[in-house]
Amino acid sequence: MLNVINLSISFYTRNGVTQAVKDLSFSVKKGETLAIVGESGSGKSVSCQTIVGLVPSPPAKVESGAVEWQNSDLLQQNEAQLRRIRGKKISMIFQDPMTSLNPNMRIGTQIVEALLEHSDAGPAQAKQRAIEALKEVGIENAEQRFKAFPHQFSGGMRQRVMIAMALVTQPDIVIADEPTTALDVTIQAQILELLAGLQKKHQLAIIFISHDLAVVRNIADHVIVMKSGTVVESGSPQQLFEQPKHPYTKKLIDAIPSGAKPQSRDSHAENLIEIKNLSTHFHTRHGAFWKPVKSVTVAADNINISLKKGEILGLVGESGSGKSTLGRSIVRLVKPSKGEIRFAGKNLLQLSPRQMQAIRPHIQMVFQDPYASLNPRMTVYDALAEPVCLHTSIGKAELPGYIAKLLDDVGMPEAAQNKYPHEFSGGQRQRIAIARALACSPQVIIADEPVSALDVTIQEQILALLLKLNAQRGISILFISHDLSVVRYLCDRVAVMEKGRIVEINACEQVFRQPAHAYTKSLLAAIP
Amino acid sequence: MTLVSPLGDSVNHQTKKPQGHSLWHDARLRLQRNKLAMFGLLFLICLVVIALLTPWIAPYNYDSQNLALGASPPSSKHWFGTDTLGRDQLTRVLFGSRISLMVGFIATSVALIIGVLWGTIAGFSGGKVDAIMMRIVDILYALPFAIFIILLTVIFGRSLLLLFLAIGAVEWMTMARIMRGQTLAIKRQEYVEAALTMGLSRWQIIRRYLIPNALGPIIVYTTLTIPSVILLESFLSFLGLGIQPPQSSWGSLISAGGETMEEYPWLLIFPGITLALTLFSLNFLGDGLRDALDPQSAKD
Repeated sequence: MLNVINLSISFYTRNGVTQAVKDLSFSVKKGETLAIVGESGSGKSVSCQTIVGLVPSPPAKVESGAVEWQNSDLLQQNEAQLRRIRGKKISMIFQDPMTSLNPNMRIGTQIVEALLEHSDAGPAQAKQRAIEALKEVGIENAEQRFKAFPHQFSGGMRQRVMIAMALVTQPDIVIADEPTTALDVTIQAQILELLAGLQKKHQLAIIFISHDLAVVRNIADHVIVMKSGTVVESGSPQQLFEQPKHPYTKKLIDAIPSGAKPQSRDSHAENLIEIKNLSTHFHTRHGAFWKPVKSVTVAADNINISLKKGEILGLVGESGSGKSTLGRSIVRLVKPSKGEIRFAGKNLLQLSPRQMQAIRPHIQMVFQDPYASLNPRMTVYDALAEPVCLHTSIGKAELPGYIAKLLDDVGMPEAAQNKYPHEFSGGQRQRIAIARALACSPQVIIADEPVSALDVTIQEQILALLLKLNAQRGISILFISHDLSVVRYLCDRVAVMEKGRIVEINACEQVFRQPAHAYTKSLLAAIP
Repeated sequence: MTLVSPLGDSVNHQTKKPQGHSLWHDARLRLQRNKLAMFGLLFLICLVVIALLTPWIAPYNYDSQNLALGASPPSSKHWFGTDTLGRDQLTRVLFGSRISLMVGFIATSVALIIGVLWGTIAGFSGGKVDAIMMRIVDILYALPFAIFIILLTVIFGRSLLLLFLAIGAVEWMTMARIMRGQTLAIKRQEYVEAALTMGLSRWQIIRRYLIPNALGPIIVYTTLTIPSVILLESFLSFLGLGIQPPQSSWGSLISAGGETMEEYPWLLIFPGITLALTLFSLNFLGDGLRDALDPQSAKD
């Protein structure tokens, strides 16, 4: 149906020429799913965007190759011809449905707009078809939701809207660029199921771009593994998983966290942090200021949990379950409504800001997005020196040595210290963020989704680093994640949160082998 | 000061002494490589030096009139010509630059310091503090500027100091609003939260995290404020606040020149060109500073 033949793409920038894609060939047939897997920067998105002419040129230039579709070469088409194909015959679904839907337009209007552009349907007919499309992707009350704005939907629902929009013009091919990466695992499972169902019904060809081999395994008919612009291996998913030929494919498969943490820890260790009856409510005011409407969101509801010395405690749940709120309460980034957080014999919630400063070096935090958690205007040296100067007695003379050692501990070269955060990749930045958390030798690290923004191979390295720090320095880690396989790989105990409550807490293997709560079971069932 | 610093120099510096490798140090190196910005800086420095030396280097006295001469076009004796009272225009431009530059820089600095601090504190504190501080700004905004100035003159009489105060009192409010907007956006960034969990004090966070990351728009707005302040001064002088003839400023020379533009164009052209060149230099320097202070901009 669609044949890509020897496609090569280069980027021409001031710093020279970068070859993004080299000699890429693949084909997709009707009703088939082709998966393209690779790390960020491997050229998987660029090649698919080139098919529909969405890569800005310059700087990009197609060096050679052809994209055959219905007896014509898409690369030779001009913009007007491409626009007729794009959205009508070949649709795209993007990673982040919040940024790919226009926030100022009702979703119905956006879908109708696509229809009016690409079919001869009149406004009334278009509206009818749009509502049908919304129903088809499982949106309840489609007639009413038709008038809603994108922000009124949850992430999973927005992705459904995006899929409805992509399918309403009855395309032959759908290019899905990491469509489930931004979603929770249970939602991810729903979306994948939806896509598979729609594919069967409409005989769609799907090109599925992902960095996650585990997701691809169940849905693809054919898989291409890309690395730095070239195809290193291709084949059926069974072939690839059972007999990977290329070392890079092996590496990708090994990087999927699997199995449990080997050694079991002494469960009688003393409690380092004890949380008792903690509740956090968020009060929001809306409406006019003379007639405010107050509403309360319960983010954490009567939580009792403890973190033992030297253990890694996993905290899992979907977004909105209150797991981040709990982590942030401990470092007082959010203020709980009632309860106690005891650390070193003190209730952290009753300390004055000054007393809290004395505790802060012992409890450090690592954030989700390594691109946002480092000050872009500070060199790595300054970023690391800041907590050291603030909390330790290390003098000016010893400081450079200490920082070089810190960087070494997290596997970064000494030369990194004079650079700015933007000069590093996501994984390197996360290492720097971890080094900063380590700077004043904390007893506890609260890691809020520290690997969910990273590629799977990088993710494995960061997890290994956390394990090493836990083993060598005995640092306790509260590991907040929505990814159960990562938690199983890393944690000693797991607490499962749903809607602000802890529904289950137990030893890691116990939770995975014999989940007690229905919600835990549904989470486990959703693992791809 | 060299216009272009050799690359090797900065490389040596890196390996020798990592401590000095701060944002400001890097910014200086990057600024030095930006020729246009360095030209702007050089021009401004020359202008300031000349303004400082004016009493000694000016060819004539600023109030000496030669009514017999009247308005004469540029000549070898009077490079910029003379005005209707026979005063040397070059001398008046030179003396005018003292007032205009002083107003431009001091009033803008006052506005910058008050505005940035006010906006940052309001934005960072949030809640009631923010609401009260910004409502004060709103109320001051609503006061008609001219009435405000006239009131000041009536109460305090006229003085140069009052001129700075009056201009500063108006210009800082926009600065505060811009800075508050920036602060609101930046304080939600994870790196500010990371700084909080590290135990930095509010003042340290403001100084090291909020202000450096908000510099881009602030610098651009500052370079826009200086010329508007210089022109504002002529309006205030017209109202009777600030300087009076025979003293001169660029603003007053330009407005006087504008009235006689058709008969004596040189009275408008020369102060106009001087002001325009100053503004160009300021814009080049401002753009250069903005790029230099952003480590993510192109490396060279």
